[in-house]
Amino acid sequence: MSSITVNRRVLQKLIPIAIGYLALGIACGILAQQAGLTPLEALGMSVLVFAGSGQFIGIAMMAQGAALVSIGLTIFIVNLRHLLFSSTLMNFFNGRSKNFLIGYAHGITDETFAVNLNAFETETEPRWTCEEALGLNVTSCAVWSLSNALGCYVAAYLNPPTELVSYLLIAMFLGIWVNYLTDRKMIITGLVSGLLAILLSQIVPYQLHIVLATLAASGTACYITERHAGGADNVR
Amino acid sequence: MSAEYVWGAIFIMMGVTYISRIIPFLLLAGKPVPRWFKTWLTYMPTAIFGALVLPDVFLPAGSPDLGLNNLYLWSTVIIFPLVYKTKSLGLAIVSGAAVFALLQAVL
Repeated sequence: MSSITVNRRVLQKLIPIAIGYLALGIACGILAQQAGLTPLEALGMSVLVFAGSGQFIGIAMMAQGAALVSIGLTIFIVNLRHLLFSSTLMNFFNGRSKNFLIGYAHGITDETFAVNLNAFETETEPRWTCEEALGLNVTSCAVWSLSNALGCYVAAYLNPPTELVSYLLIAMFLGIWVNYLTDRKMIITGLVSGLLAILLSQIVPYQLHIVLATLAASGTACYITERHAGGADNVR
Repeated sequence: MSAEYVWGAIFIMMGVTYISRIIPFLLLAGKPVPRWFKTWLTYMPTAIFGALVLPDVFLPAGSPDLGLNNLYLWSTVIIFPLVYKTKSLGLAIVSGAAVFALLQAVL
């Protein structure tokens, strides 16, 4: 039995991600070329790292000749939010072999997490499978990597509408977020998290505000829920 | 830039990113999970997306911007009711692109 599936459902879900990755990837590739990377290096980075914001920041740091330790530390912190993504997805991967998990983990990004989580929770007949999730990760990575290589290669001749594309990704997150705004507690948690993130972004460096706000808001909601649970009515 | 520097940076970036991706899977897989942790996880998605969307919308360039120039904010304000009602991902993207492009042309 195959451990990866790329069927029509996967390709359908790939489309919004692919559009965003195509344009953002080309922009990232252009940035890479301007920083002095070759298309092969841009491709290699995209395949091995597969992290949009991390790559943008990493490229900028490389252009400044930053020490490898600094780059490692910064990228580690910027990508810490993946801990949350993996923790949330864990539920759906019970019983999978370590090798499968290792292979799957590579492709966890904001976008593949968002779409896969949504698919796991809403797809029925049949339910979304781990093999399809892996398929989504791998195809997303392919689009991202090829776009980076392309952008790096044709750097001088393209002018992608990066602002519009950045907004497309935000619109996608918005579209998925509303699916979780199902009751008052969820709505409040989401809004509080967002507000906290805004406040923290002004105080805290390295994109830490996302992780901190998420943990604080979800942790508080969890605490309040657990306090009321255990026999007493669970207010929804 | 030397190839050693670039590839060195690439592999380091890969390593540190991989750590955050794989740790929960390796540490927690297979072990019984306490109920409070599961409750916590149910609140994660709404919190994560809130923390991802709101700053991007209100602070497009890093500092608060409530002016008319902040197309991210106004595009979101315009499409939000529609997206909330329909809960459609496709519609969110299409309407988002259309409204943003429109605002870009007009403002």
